[in-house]
Amino acid sequence: MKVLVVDDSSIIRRVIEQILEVLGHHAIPAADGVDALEALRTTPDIRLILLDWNMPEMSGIEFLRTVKDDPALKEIPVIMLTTESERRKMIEAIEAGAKHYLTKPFQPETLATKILQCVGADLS
Amino acid sequence: MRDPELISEFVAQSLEHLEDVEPLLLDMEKRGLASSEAMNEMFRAVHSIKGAAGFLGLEAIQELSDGMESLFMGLRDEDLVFRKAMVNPLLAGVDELRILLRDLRDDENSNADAPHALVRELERLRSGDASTADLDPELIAACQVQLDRGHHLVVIPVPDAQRARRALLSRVARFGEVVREDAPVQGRAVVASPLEADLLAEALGLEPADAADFAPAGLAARAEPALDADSLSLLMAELPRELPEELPVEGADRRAETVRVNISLLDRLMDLAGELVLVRNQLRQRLGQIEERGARTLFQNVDRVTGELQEHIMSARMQPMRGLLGRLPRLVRDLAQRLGKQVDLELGGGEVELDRSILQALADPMTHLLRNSLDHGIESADERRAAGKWERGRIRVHARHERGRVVIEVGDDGRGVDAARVREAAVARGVVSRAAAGALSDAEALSLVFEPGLSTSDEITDLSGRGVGLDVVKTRIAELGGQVELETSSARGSTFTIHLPLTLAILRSLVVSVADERLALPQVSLVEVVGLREDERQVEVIGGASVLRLRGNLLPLVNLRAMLGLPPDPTLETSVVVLRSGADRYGLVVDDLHDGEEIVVKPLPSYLASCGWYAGTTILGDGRVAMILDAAGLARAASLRFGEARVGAGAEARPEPARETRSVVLFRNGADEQFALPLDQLHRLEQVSPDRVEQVGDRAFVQYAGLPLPLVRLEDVLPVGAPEEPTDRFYVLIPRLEGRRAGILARRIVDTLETDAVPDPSRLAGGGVLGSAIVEGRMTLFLDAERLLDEAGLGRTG
Repeated sequence: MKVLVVDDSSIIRRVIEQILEVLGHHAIPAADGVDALEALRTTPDIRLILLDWNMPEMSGIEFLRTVKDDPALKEIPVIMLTTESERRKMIEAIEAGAKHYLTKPFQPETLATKILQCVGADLS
Repeated sequence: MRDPELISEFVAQSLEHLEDVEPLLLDMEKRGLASSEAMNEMFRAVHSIKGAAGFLGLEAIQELSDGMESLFMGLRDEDLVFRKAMVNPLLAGVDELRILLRDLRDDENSNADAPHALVRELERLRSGDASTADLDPELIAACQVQLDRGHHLVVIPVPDAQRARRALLSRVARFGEVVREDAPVQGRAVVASPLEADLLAEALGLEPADAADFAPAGLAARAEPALDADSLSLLMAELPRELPEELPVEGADRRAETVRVNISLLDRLMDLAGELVLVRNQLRQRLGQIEERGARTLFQNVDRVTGELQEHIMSARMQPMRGLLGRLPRLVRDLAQRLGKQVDLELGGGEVELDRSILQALADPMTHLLRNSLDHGIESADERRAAGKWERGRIRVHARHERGRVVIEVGDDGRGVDAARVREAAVARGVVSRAAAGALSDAEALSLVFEPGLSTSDEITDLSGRGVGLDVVKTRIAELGGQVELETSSARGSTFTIHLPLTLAILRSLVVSVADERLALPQVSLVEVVGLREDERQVEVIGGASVLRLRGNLLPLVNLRAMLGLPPDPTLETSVVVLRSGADRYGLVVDDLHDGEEIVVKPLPSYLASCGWYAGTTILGDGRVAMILDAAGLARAASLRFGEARVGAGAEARPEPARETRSVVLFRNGADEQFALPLDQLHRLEQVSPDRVEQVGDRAFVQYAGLPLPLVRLEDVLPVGAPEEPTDRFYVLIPRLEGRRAGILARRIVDTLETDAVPDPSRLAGGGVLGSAIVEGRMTLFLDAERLLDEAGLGRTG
């Protein structure tokens, strides 16, 4: 399945891409919220969004709210990527409709498990 | 033979692991639940101890940690249900491991036996005479569904009232869902959410302690990701083990790199830095006499580097109180259990740092005070109910910084100490005569709890309810250069307040002299300096003893000349330094005051130790040896009677200062105005002779600590009068301001005192003045140091 990876760090984008590839998914990278919205408009069938909390241009929460306000996009599950210091912000993110969150740094297995829990085995 | 280095590293690491385990066990006991995460952490800690012990051939440690590990593993992975009864054996295991490890540290070839009974007990618990999950299978199934979705299971309290309950549960729906109400017990609910327990508590507006992980044994997320095991392992091999948290900044490694340093090396470095400070001080004094530009510049460099070196070495020795405070919950729990009392412990100030040698030496006295509070302070539940208190007692341990010192309070809300009973006990123990006891004020009687005679017998427990071993506490704290005071009332309980210096090795002190003798007074015991003038303050003789009348209180006086066996010199204008000895204050009459100096404490030669009123020796900047005075010892040696002085003052005990008071230094410059500067804004107060003041352009400077210090004349900045006559000495008030160095010139220091006067900002406010108020019967301008320097055009220096 297609997974949108929104993170301003190119290294993190690349590492996540690799994991997704091994898991049999196709990653669509985006460096910020504006890029990501563009990707959502132009790429059909995105089934999952991995979203960094802390980004320039459009913050993670702003992007999340935009997605959840859009009837065409709101069903796509979102997993937030955060850091220990911003863990508490996840209250806001979950309330805004994020499905899960992951605290960086994380183990590749953890990401695999979270994706599975999020979209269900049938889609993976 | 074992490799000593390896062993010592193993011991240090293992003890650290155990530090992590203990609070988790206590938390588990408190909640009655075991989160799988906590289990896992404890498992890992014990597991790594076991692994290394096996490798090093330490059989006893291996055997015991194996017993603990398999219990943790059972709880984590299998059908073993957590029960509170498991906590005591596990804690005992932690203790036994510590003992074995310390034995090993003292003797790396130690071959102590494992505590077999304990190991058997752990095995019995492990073999699961209680491994039936007696939970409703439907609940378990519902929980499993949530876990498989990656949700956390959390137990929260739900209110009985329908409306409040609905409100809470509808709030839950915004962050997850309710799995079941009134489960696992009435008045609780199991909820599932992507948020972990602490975050969910915050989201729902609950106390963090209210939300507990719901982790019945045998229930775990079935994380069997349907992926190709081979390709996953391939991936793991290629990828960094963990994703970076953020990008490294400019290629630099942001993780702080640390090395372990042997304590004795750190001590040695500290000693050397101390020596360097001494040499620096001597150099400074010598250079004061030589006029050579090059040497001065060089000295400034030496001065700066020495200061920084000392600061950094000191900071390397500083450790947060957290470690010490972290040990207290266990202590309080064990004692409370043994005494059958219910106690909540409140800790604060874990971030406050102290020199590690002080921290180490502090453990015993703190333990003693806590024991004392639990044993004698906190009443039984029945007694507390009868007294209209909560059944659960409260013990509070708080550390904080206060004016360059660390203050630790150990308080309880128990029955307090009854002065009358202390008197009786003191008479019964022969500490004081009946007549003397009758003459004691309450505060003075209370200070007797720190007397040795009152501490030896356990009978005192029944007599006074307080006072076991407190003399030891006082002695220990005094050895650290600190002091301990007791405040008590039957309604509010007792609070012991410990004042400590930040570090032992280098002491801020005031140098005083009598005749040719110089003596250093540690700043920790210094209260204020009082100039003796005939017009304002009065030395009186009451009952054959000299006392000083100071702001309506009478302070007993000690004449340092007399103490040293020197003849009085009536031609001298003497000064009085007010010192604190425990809760008491007294004045020390000296001939002269010199500079404040940072001194390096050297131990007292043994033949002087018996004298009892010296705390050590030091070498002053001019190379002379000086004795360091011990304020409490001096009071004892002079047989001061604080009670009589107070009776004379017409006050049984010192009145408690009102809450809103602040300490200010009062001073004068011109003839008319009196000024006040809050003491917390004051860094140093220096006395200088006019010939040390240099004029450059329209700015005056004085040499201070080897550097020119710009001076502010109040009359230049504020609409106030200038001093009229020339003087033979100035005072320079150096404010405590980040990144700024300047001094305020004053002609006369009037006093330092506590005042509740609130400066009225309507008059003369702004431009360096907060406002004015009447202090000691005079209109006084309260200065704002920061604004004042701004106004004087003294900006920030690099």
